[in-house]
Amino acid sequence: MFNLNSGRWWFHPILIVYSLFSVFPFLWILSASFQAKEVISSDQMSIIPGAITFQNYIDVFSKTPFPKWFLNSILVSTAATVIGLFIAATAAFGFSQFRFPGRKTGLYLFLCVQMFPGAVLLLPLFRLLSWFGLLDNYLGLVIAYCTISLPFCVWMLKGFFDTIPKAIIEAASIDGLTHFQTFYKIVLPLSLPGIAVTGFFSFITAWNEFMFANTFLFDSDKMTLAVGLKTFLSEKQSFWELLSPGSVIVTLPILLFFLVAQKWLISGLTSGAVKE
Amino acid sequence: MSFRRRVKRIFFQQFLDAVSKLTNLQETKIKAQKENDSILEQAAMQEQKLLLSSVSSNPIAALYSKLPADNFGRSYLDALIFDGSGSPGANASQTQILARKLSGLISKSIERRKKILSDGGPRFVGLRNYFELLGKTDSDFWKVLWQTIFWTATNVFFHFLIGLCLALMLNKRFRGNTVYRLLIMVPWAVPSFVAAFSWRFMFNYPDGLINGILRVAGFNAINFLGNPGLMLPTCILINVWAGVPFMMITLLGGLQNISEDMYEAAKIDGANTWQKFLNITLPCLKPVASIAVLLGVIWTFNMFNIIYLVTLGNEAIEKDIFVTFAYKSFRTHGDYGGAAAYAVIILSILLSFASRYSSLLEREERKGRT
Amino acid sequence: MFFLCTFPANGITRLVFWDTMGPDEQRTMKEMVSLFEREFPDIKVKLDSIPFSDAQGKFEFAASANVAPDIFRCEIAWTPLYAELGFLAPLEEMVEKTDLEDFLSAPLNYCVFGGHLWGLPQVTDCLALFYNKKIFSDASVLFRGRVKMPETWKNYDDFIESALLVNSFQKTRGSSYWALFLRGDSYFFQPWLWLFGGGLINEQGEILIDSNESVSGLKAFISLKDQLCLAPSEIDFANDYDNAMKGFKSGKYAMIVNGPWAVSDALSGEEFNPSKGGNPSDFGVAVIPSRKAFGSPVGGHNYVISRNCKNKVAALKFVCFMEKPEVQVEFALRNNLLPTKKKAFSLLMKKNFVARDVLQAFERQLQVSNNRPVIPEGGKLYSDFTRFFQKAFRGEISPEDAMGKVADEWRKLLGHPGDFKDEISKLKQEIRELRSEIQFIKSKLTKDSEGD
Repeated sequence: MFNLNSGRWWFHPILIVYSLFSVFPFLWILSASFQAKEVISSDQMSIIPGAITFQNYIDVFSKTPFPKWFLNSILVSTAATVIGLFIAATAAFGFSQFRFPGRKTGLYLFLCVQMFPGAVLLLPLFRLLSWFGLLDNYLGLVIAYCTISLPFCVWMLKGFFDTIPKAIIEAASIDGLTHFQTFYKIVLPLSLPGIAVTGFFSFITAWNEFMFANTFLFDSDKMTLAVGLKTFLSEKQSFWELLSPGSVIVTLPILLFFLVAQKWLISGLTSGAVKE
Repeated sequence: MSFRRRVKRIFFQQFLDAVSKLTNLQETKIKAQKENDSILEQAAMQEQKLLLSSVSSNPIAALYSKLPADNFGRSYLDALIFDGSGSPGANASQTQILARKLSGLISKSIERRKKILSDGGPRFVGLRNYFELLGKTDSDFWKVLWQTIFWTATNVFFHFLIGLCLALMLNKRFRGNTVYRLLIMVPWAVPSFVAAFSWRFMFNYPDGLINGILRVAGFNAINFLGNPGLMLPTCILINVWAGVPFMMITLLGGLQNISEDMYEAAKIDGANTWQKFLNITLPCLKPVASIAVLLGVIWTFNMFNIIYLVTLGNEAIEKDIFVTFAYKSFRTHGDYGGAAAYAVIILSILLSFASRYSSLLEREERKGRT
Repeated sequence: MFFLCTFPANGITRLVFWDTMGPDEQRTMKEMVSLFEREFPDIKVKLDSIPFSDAQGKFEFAASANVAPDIFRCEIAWTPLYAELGFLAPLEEMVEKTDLEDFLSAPLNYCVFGGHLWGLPQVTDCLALFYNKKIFSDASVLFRGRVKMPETWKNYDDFIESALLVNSFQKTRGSSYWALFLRGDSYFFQPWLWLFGGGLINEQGEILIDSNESVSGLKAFISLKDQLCLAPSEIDFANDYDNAMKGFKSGKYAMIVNGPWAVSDALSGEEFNPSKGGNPSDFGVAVIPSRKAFGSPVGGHNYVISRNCKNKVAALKFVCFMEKPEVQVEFALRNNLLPTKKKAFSLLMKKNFVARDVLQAFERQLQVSNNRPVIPEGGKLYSDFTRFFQKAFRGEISPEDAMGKVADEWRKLLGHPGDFKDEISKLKQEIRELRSEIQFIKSKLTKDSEGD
């Protein structure tokens, strides 16, 4: 692992230290998830478990509707990612390749929505969803998630599309490709790192979001993971014996998704191939 | 809805009349007793009974007859009907209290909340909400404003600095690269409220993990979350931890888009690493980096969860930024209009920042071209 | 008539119940719901669990869009607020006198507001003194019987006297051992307000928080840690609840102030858990000793029925089922919660279970406890209160200033007397008219009686 000849050996100490800092609280949660209920809430709780038990994991799956929440979250997050990415990519393509009146204003309008504190948007969004009959409905929630993730995705993808040389697009139109074909066959494959980042961003936004999910869904059978996890906190007590294994399991799919998405980051499509 | 109509709705005119009559009859009765006028006393009592039976179909009377004798609500009504202490026309403060009891309403803010939520939606009030908000701008407001700016600036600075360093390292290919990327992503993947709570436990005074480490290292334990001066820096540390993965991954995405050929060409020209970074990496990263920083500023400015959850239970305002401060005021006053006014003020601050920022970028771009 | 139109023949009524309990209580609730459905096969109840932390806003939004659940487990401070906002159905015409008379008065007070009954109390709580019997008896051995056990205390002075001795005993065990742990939270400070004759807001709407009595309560509270050195003086306000519980469970603190919700947690600690070598009977709860008066805030939750509920009769049936003494006893036995009915308490005391004495002590405390103000703003008082209380706790401002500032904030919150000026003069005019009318009736009455 420590290839001293490469001249990059000094990366490792820095990265190890930072990685430790970064996983530190997670280690606490991970360790709590393997300890007995009585130990977690006492003075004896330490980061290295004295006695390991899997009871918490068994409890969270058998005594709570955790598996159901998990499936709901997968459904909502995937839908939010796919729909969000589609809208963002097409919008970004338009903003990047065409000049039209209101282009700049439109881009900044996207940002405006983000400048409101999320809690203030809650009531207006609630009213809108209520008018359209989308309360207690996954579609409504997915649309609400798009309002959070779209601004970043559009700006990010626009940045990527901008770097694609004009010559390639022109060549495509000379070859008789329609706009959509250009977008689909040329622009998208050239911006895979951007797609990976924005896709990951959309997914994670939907996966960990609590406020919208809690307000726009009523039926507890439809609850997502973030909301479900919060039912493990009652008025005065926190049930860490359920919260900690729950959090560990919630974190894993994201890391898995990241592992898949980051392939596009690592392979680093040699942009040289498309150089003029 | 006017106050009187509200009173009527809740109590019904009929009952209000009856109450007044009852109290007056009570007065008559007492007067008659004093004057040994048994006939008048009898008549007054009879009239009282009649009145009571005539209002017994009224919900209040129904409630009154069902409540146990020691209930608050009953003693209100008792006072109102029999002992005359709540008798209408008493002095102003008593009338005020009576009016409150009758309407069940106490403050303006609740009335406004009601308007927005139930009585036919919001109503145009001109600039009232803004005047009220700015009228309230005491020292707390300005203190929170400076704290918000400090919070945003420090956070985004460290996010960008650390994110860029990590992205530059992880952009290179070496063994273990994926593992590091994965570990650094963890803060983003953990649900934010769980992360906030676990940080809160770790900063616990005197027995938290971090104080344990300090003690082993020979220092005194520090009350991170109880000492007003330390709360904001502690929250900044936590938010830096939480925000680096986003910046890192975004910049990494940007770095991936820089063509290898440019570095090759620079190498041929004999540029060193620093020159390559300054002349190729930074300019090419700029489109992505500038938007990441802009969004970083916006999000950090409005970052609610970390401060709120980590310091939950500590009400000092030395840790508050605009959103948490506004939320607290909303929680206490429940005024949607006021909250919206806050939001618009936040929006205008951020908007003016964004326009300044983007014009600065454009100017530099133009300078770069010439 | 009403029954006929809301109960179609063979029709099944579906009710939605939003419940904000933790996972343990939820399990009991699920079983109780299935018991109810067995008894009333024509009513199906859907139990939705809602995170407590954000339930207040969620219900508010849902109710404003007329999609609120039929039944909601509503925190006591939210009840007058929702009632004022018009989200709840008044129940006084539907309940019977017999339904109400068995309730303890303190919890039922939270259901009555503005002349209507808005719910029925589900669970109640109050603060009491948790103490470690083993530490007390050990200290008693050390000081040759001079330490009095909390149940024998007659007043506040006995408490101070014993606490000083227990504290000296604790100090022999180590510097981080104390007689007491005081939280930096205004809710947990409230007993001292009442002990010294002060209060929050009285029934007439007057603010009592800056009265001399309230200030002396705060001074006494602070002196416990600063002058008498009975408790740690530097507190982590964000973690102090957990720290209090952890320290109590491990014997670091001999006494803490807490409520019935913490009983199960306390019993799991190493001092009281048989599986860890502890003894559950060492865990004691006592009434907070009185000085000028007793003091403890009553809290809890109510069942409320929302305005948009289509079948209020069925919803009330469900609520009344859950209020049955037998059902309340189930909750008390499994989750150590305080019932709201006298019958449930007497039924409970016939059973034999670990926390029996503890719940009995809470019942005693409940009888001398105080209601929080039953006003729509009831839940909003504590944020400003805690802020200035914590400043005084840290010694940044004097107790007088702190309480004065709290009173200022509350005055802003409750509205100035001038706010209703016009309305009040109108009301007065109306009353004057009424009076003249009454005068007329009176004269007629006199004439009639003369005629007899």
